[in-house]
Formats: sequence, structure tokens, C-alpha cells
Amino acid sequence: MRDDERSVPSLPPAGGAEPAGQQSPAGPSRDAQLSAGPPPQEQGLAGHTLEELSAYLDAGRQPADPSIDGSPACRAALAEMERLGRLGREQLELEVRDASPPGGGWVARVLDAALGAGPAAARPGEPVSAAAEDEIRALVRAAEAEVDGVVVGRCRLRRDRATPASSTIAPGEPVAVTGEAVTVSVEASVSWGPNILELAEQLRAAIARRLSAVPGLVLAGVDVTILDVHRAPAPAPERG
Amino acid sequence: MSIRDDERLSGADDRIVAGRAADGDPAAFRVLVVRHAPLMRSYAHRILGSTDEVDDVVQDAFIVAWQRLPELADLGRVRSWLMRIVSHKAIDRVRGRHPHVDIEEQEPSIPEVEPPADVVEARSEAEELCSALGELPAAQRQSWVLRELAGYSYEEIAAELAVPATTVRGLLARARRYLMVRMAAWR
Repeated sequence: MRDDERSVPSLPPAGGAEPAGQQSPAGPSRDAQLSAGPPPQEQGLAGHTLEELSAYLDAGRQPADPSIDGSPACRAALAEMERLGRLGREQLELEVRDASPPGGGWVARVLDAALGAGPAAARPGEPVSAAAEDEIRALVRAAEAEVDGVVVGRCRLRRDRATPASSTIAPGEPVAVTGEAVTVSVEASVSWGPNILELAEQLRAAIARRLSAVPGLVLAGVDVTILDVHRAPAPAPERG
Repeated sequence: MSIRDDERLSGADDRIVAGRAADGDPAAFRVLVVRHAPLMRSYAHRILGSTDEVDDVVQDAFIVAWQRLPELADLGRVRSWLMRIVSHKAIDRVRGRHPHVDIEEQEPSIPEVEPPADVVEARSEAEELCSALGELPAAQRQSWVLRELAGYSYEEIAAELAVPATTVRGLLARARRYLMVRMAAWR
């Protein structure tokens, strides 16, 4: 946007014509259009309605319309619509940045309401019952305590190989009795450092060790995928 | 949960935390609530046009989020997913308030009296925009917020408001016209 467009009023005054130098090609028909009575704010928009300009803006000003792009009044109206949108986004961002964190009481109520509304949706196609899954996942998450700077994310369980539908485990049936080999795939985040692979291996070993204690669970393998490397808090660098 | 666990989780990115919450870990879900509630509240305020029911709407959104997180394919996009849920909940709430919202409802009249200079100075233009939004008829306000703050397409707005896409075009234009005139009057 050019600077001079900033100072153009957002909408031309009622009955206003195109500024000097922008000779309108329309003759009597344009006058007739004006007297036919578009809302006052829409006069002087080179025969376009504000709705047309609004839709043009949202279409990314494509395909280019020279009768809009060539009209200072239209450009000013488009610039003002754009500016108000930007102002709205900036204000939202500032408000969120300056917001105090939600109060502990409110967070507790939200958690109670959510967790009390029922368990998370079933995970179809997973090999073990929800209760057994939760137990395994809790063990997997707990393993992160053994490795510095590791955070465990999503954990998926799958049978080592396809099994007939008839062998599907009934809900509530503990995984321990199945004797099926299960592969555990874990996503994790580690702190930045020279030994990322080593941390992943330590986590893998810690998970395998903890799961080996589950009676009847046959562990086919543990896959660890490092999704994210976060920076461990470090002293701020000295500034001159 | 120990402080140390809390710190670990708070430092991890959305995909890790959401993955863990999807697995049913309440501690991870708590981190999501604390992290995203401020944006969801501010955003719900704009859709609703007031702060009255913001708490209820955001809570409803988190209830849905907890139940449906396991279905979310791209867990790294949990933030925009939460925004969609809260949009939907806020619009539902307004619909419940006015079951027969007429999309042609009365335009608000532009205040003709100029505000006194000290009022003008005391309020930033951005705050004034927020007030102006609150004055718009619900469907116009929602169209503008979904388009300008959330980047929805006309088709997405139409689906959310249960109106034809051609109606969205008119709603947006009327919202913009009101805001332009209203803000020009303020300046």
C-alpha cells in the first residue's frame, strides 16, 4: 500500500466523485446509477458496491479487476477493510499475550468437567483393552523419569502381526492373558544435546525394562521416535 | 504429579503434549488447558459479542476436546483444532440464545454524537473496534470474526452458520461497512 492511500478517507463522502485525474468513463449512465440510490457510503466506488469490494478482497484481489484497482476510492475502501482485519488480529494477539494465566480453580473445574464427562474415545483397531492399554501407557510415561530431559508423547500399541478377528480381545480383558506379542511405538521430545540418539536408546531400554515386569505381556519391540528437540533452560548469554 | 513432571510437560511442544493427552493422561491435558485457554477465551468473547458466557463455552470446548483428541490425526495442529471447537460451541450458544436469528436482522445505527475527547483518548482504537464488533448483529459479527481472525473460507463460514455461501458474502460486506463507518466516526 502506498503511503498516500493511508490518508484517503475510508469511504468517499456522499455524492463524491473520483478525485481529479481519474476521469470516469461512465457518462449519464453512471449518474443514473447514482441517483438510483446506492447507500451513501457506496457512492463514488467506481460503480462497485461495497459487497463486490469485500468479496474481491477475500478472493485475494484475483482475478485482477482494473476498474477496482484503478480507482483510488476503491483502493482506499479495500485498504480500510484490510486494516480493520489486521487491527482485530493484532488486538487479539496483544490481549492473549497480556492475559494472566487461567486461575487454578477454573482449570480444576474444567478438568473435572472434561474427565467426568467420560473417557476419551475408544481407539478402534488397537490390540488390547482400554484398561490394559492405559496401564501400559502409564508405565511407558513413567519411564521418562529415568532419562534426563526426555518427555514422552503419544504411545501406540499394536500386535506384532495380523491376527484373525475372532481373537479380538474383549473390553476389560487384561492384556496379560493374551500372550500376544505387542509392539510399543513411542513419540518423544528430548533436550538439545550431542547425545540425542543415546537418550532415545536410554528411553527405549527403560520402557522395555518396565514393560518386562508386566505378567504375560510379550513385548515384540519398542520403537522410539524423537519428534522434537527442545532446548534445555540455559543461562542467558552475556551481552556486551 | 510432581513439580518436576509438570515442568517437563510444560516445556514440550503441542504434538508431544497432545499425543500424551490423547492417550488419556490428565496431566498432559491440563497443560493443554493452561496453554490454550487464554486464546480460546479471547476468541470466544469476540464470537459471543460479550464476556458473559465465555467460561461456559471454553469449558464445553475442552470437554469435547478431551473426548475426541484420540481422533485428531495431526496432533501438532491441536491449537487450530481447539479454535474450531470453540468457534462451534460459541456459535451454538448464540443460536440457543436466539433460536430464530434472522440473518436480515436490524442494522445497528451508527452513533451520531461524537464521543467527548477525553473518552477518545482513554480508549485505543483497537478497544473501540472490539466494542463496535459487539454492536453488530450476531451473524454479521460471527462472519467477520471467522473470516478475519480465524481465516475461514466463505464455504467454511457458511457451514458453521448453516447459511448459503452467498449469504456469507452479504453478511461480511455489511459487517465491514458498519465497522468502517463506525470507526471513521470514532476517529
